[in-house]
Amino acid sequence: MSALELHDVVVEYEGRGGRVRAVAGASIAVPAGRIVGLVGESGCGKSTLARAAVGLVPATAGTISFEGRTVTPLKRRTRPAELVRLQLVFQNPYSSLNPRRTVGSQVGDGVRGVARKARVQTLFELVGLPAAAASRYPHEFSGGQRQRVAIARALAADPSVIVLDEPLASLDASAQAQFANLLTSLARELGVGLLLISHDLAIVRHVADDVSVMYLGRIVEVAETQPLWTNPAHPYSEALIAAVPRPDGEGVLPESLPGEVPDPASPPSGCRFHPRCPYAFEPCPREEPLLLPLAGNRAAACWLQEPGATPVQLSRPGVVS
Amino acid sequence: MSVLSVEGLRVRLPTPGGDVTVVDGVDYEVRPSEVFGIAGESGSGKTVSMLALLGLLPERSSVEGSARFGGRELIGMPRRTLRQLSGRDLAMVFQDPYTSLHPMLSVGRQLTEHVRLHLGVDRQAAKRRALELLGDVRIPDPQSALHRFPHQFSGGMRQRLAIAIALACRPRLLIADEPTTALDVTVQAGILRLLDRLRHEHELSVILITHDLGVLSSLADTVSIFYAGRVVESGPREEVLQRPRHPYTKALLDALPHPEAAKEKPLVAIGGVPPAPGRIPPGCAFHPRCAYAVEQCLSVVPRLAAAGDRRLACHVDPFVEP
Repeated sequence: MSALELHDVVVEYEGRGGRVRAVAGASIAVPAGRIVGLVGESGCGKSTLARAAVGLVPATAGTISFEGRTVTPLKRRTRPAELVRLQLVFQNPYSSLNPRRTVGSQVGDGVRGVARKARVQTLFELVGLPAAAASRYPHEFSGGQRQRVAIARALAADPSVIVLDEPLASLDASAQAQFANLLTSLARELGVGLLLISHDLAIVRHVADDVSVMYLGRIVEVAETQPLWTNPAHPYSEALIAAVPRPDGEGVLPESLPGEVPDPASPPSGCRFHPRCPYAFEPCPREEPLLLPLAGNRAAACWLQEPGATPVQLSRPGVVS
Repeated sequence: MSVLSVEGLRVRLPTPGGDVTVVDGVDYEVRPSEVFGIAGESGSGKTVSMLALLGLLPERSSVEGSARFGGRELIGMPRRTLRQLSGRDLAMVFQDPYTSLHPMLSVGRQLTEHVRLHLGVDRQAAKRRALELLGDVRIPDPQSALHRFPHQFSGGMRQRLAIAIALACRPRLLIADEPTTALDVTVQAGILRLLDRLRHEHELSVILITHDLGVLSSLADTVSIFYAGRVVESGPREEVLQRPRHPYTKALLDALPHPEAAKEKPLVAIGGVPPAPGRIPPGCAFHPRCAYAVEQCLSVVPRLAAAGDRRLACHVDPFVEP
């Protein structure tokens, strides 16, 4: 059983023109010690799903459970102790840290019991910061270091799952590399399950064990990272992969995906991706495909794929495997 | 014949703790219809070196060196003359189209005002030009787009609008500073393709500033790698990215996840952090983070000099092919 499980989660917001479904029935599971990537374009609902997963926004329908307990939306009351082991790290470490307190005292907030100082020092070393850094303020750190402080603060609660919302977005390549390595070691050495939300497919491919691809509020494909990358089963996954520019010096322009993510207030009929899909055929505008299992421990929501069968190889020109 | 030729550009910015050198002797040339890519970590002086050309630095900054653009010297040019030039022959697109577009003016107004100011054409001609531009950057339904406002467009479309405004007076050089950093990969691919088409169709030279070597690799013809306010390596895209010779270029490439790399192979991050401006180490600025540094690197600044197919600023040159 997975540490964090989301089942058919729906999240609706009150919009100007009525209710908007940011997440329209999405399921995801994060087992301990595994890194699960969640990718998709902005506006696809991935951040909303992350927030719902930790109870920052209430789910309209569906179930969210963490270590067998239901995750309840965060209210003014103290969060039940057993849910504290589910942590969230935000995208921007500058706005999520208090500029007027030392980072050590902020990390210390999450430490229970005595020997707080020693524990804070251990946490700093764990994320690759010198123990002496504890007495400094957030502005004295680079972006990558601040994101490490944010991780140390999440680790203070001795979590079994950390949800990370675009943690790499504002970092330089080298800082990204350091951070990616840190994430891998958290999962492998501490057995923490990670839900890594990112639009950077290259880095997700490198660190994630499994990947879920989200489009307009729905998960359209789930697979282990390697098979997904080499043989995507959903045309949207294929388009996302083809759009990643490669630093190989060859001068090849990445493939663009025409159109934009439609307004979630009025999603297209049938398959939500069909207006942008180069493979769309007769059933696509009529009926929405369900996320069904395929051979090889994966699943896709696409009419091109036969449930239970080996995924059909997609063949959009210009796609490099 | 180059469009822009920069020599010995040196920029000092005023800070509360005294003046600091942010750009320290930068040389490069941009040829017609070329995409000249500049890459480096944040704080390496990429953006400041561009703002210096356009006279957009804060008061009391000092700029030395020379930047010749179409036979005219930009450094030391009176602000008024420079302002006439930039926006017409020389245009810039920034990372964040949310802040570079005026939120309260319609797209049509922002496009036509610009054209009328710089080219002195009448309202009708300006409108025709605006429609043409919107078509050029592939904004759907240009006629109705004229009457809409920036917030009614998505991030990618807004960046297209910013590019349309920049291109309004048919500039010869477009400076694009991280133009796709705030966008999704799918939208980014569209903008990169747009820039590539425009430079071929309009004989436009582009300076592309990016921290993303993937973006650099897909669009740039020539690349220049910045570190701590200096150029460390510069040359044709293929040579520099496929056979890097400066230890810093090599390290930057090694830090990236490679499609063919085995999983679980940790990424090789560069040890240490880039130096803060004002605290640039003596000698080669990269030496404290460099595995190949020798005695000389600690005290003597390596000059950017011709090295076969490229220019290189390294005393050791450890990756030179025999």
